[in-house]
Amino acid sequence: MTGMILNIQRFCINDGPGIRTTVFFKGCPLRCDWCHNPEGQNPEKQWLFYPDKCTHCGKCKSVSVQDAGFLCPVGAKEICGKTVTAEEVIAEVMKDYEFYKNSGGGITLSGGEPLFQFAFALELLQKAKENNLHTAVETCGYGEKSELSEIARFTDVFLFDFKESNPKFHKAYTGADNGRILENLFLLNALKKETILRFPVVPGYNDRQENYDEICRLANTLASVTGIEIEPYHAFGGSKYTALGKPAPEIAMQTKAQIEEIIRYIGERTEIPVKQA
Amino acid sequence: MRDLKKIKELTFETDNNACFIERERILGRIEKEMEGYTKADRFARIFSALLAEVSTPILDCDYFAGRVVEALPDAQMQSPSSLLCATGHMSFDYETVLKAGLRGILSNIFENAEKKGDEESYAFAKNAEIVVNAIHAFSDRYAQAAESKGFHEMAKALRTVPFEPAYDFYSALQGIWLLHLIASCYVGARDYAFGRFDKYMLPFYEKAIREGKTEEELTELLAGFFIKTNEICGRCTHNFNTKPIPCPASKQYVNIGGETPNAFSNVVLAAAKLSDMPQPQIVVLMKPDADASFTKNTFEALSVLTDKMNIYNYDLVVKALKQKGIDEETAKDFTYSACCTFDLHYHAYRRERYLPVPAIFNGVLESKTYSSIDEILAEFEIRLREEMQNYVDVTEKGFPTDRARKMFVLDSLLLTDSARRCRYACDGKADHMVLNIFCPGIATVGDSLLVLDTLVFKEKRYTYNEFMDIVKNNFENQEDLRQEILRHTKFGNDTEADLYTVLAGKTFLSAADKVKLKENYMIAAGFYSLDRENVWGPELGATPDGRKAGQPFSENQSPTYGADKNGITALLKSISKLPLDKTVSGGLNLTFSQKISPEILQALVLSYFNLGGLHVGISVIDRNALLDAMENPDKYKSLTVRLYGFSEYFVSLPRWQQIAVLNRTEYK
Repeated sequence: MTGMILNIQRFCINDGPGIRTTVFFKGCPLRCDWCHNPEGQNPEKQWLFYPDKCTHCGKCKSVSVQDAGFLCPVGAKEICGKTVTAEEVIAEVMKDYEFYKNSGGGITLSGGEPLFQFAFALELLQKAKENNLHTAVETCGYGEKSELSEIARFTDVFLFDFKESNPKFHKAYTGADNGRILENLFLLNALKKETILRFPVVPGYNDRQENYDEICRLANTLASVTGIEIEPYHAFGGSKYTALGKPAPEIAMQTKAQIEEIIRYIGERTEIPVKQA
Repeated sequence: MRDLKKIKELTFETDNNACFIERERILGRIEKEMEGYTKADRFARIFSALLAEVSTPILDCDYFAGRVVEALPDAQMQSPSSLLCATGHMSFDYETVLKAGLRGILSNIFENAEKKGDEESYAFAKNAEIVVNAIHAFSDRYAQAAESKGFHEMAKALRTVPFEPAYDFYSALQGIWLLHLIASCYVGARDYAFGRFDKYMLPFYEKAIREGKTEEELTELLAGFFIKTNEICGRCTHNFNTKPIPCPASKQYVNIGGETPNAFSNVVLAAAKLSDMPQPQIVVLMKPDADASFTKNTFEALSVLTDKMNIYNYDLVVKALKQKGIDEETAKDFTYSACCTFDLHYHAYRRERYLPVPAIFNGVLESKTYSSIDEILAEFEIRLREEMQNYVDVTEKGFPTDRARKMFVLDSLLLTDSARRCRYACDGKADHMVLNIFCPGIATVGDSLLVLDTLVFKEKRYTYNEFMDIVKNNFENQEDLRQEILRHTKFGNDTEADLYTVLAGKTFLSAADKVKLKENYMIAAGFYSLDRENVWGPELGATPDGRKAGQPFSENQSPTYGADKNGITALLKSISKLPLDKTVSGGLNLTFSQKISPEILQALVLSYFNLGGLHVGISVIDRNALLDAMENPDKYKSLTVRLYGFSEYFVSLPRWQQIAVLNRTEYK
């Protein structure tokens, strides 16, 4: 079967253990205000347009977003989203097998949201396992429980985003409350699946002490959680918002000292290793 | 009181315009005094007179004796004196110096001269005696200076080494340092290297441990030795007007690892971390199955020292050398003595030549009309071979000249086969004459072949001559086409596009194989550019890969700037497809925008070596810091970056080189 992906990125060293190749899925059920991969939200192909590069040559006027062969001469317009088969993805991923072998790395599914294309994600993970690859899935946790258990069978480690402990705030920031996400986190714990809790700290949103306290409390009750990774907010997604014709969120970035302080604060409240992602 | 921090600070305090003024004044005077003196011992006598007169300063914070005093040049001084200057760029046989002392080496020379019985050998031995006595007297003067400061350990060592064999860890380092300093700063030549340092220092290290010294003490002592190498100012060439702070003119390479890394190899890594300066460059000759603790320590050091280290694939080099007919024992003792170039033990004399490969390639393209890539490559190989043969022939003819300088024997004392033959190293008759022939711009050539094959021979969108006219006209009014070419997947992305650069590389090495050589000659061909991509780029017309006239071409083994878009593993896989198993030198510099863990570095480098990679050097750069350093150099005096095959202070680079560093692809 085929899936819709953004791209395949080799040499990822922050998406699970070792040297990894990360497959970015396109399509996500959440709409986080701070999303730094906004092109990963919509499950369809889209245009990315960088107006400042455009020379108005007109060559793209009659081109459809489905026309994979189109190449803007100055790189002002590009198609975002690629239809690929699981075999094609695995062939690309296997190119770095030598590097996984020596580093304990492998494949990571990220996005977007891998669970949003459950069947494709499952096929990919099955094929990865057939090829002796270590597998990681980075997920927002918002998916069907039955599907997550299926995925878990072929996944060595989950990088589980946990953003907000207060359900009302969660709904306000992401469009959905965190009930299903919590259930899935408990499910992985019940399945004894190694889970790294990833906490994106977004200034003005979830950078509250009671949120840190609650995340620590949650993590401390879950034997499956082997690490907590703090992801500082960054504004790299800004140009992509522009390219999608949307206004970019205006969020200030934390200083290094602020991040270190958060890591220290959380580290004091749990035995689980805490580090910056 | 010995003080690491202080001796390190002193290297940063040196005046930008200062030079080794004493040497200049003394040599200037002696040159006049000895005008008309043409006997065979002329240079040995000049050397002797210089050493008898230079001062012997020792500072309270010094670990070892031997430093030069710098001051602003006199008004009339135009350039540093090259009166005594040798070629440098070699690894001395410090192993024999430590075991036999200069006295032992000298007595061997006299025995050999006796056996040979010819006038030239006697003259050589006589000169050797003058040189050795001068060094002996100099170290005695330094011993007195040390004694008068109350530095008894230092004084005791200097009364013995380097004339007599070294007797302990400290005296071994002191002896090496004095000779190294004399060769580099007093005689004046660049890039003398320490050879297989962990091998010949091991017995002294083991003895020290047996006698109760701690590893910490010895590490600190070695760090003190390493910091001294940053005081070497080469042939003083950079000491007039353009000397950056601190002077980076002479590169010092310490080689460790190889067949059997030992306990002292790890101490070298620890000392390098402690001194943390651009010199010496630590060159690790890495075997994939090396001792696990050495491997771990190597990559921990690399993750901290970054641009101050080089890692070479030891097995690959030994294999390549054996294929070239070098016997196994000699092959296993190879060392690197300067930026990405190597020596065979202490026997070799080496020369180097950068072939203007992209210009030769453009000449081939313009010389006739071709109908296939194979035709182009065949002609390319013929032209490369002609250029190489011409270089070899001219080099051979050049050796017999300058007889007087040949009779000056400091370098020859310290090169095993020169001392045995009683001949100066550069007479063309060394056991191994290594001619490094470097190929700059290999990716530019490969990508150009790719574009020609695609647009002309396969898609037939242009005839050969039509397309070459577009290239010759510098893509005038063809910007759309040029942009299309630039966006095409090129070498460096682990795709089929790599094939063309691989073919270009094989053609280069095949040409080198066909050059006619004397028996003791060896061509070490490799993919390395030093700075040629930026120096020759402005003179080079447009190339079919979309590069406009005057732009830089590709660096070392790397893809053209910005062509590698699939990440570092893809890059490494592309480069490992080059015929590196037939090369023994050449460099790959990887630039990261964040600190990389030792574990990841280890996996990356060892995987790359398993795939057939030859060399890795890394930089971790903070782009904003580099940009700020360009505007506020005083804030960034100690900021180093990797350049070519070594580490440089970023603020010491001319602007074009700073921009070249910024232009490199960064891996996140």
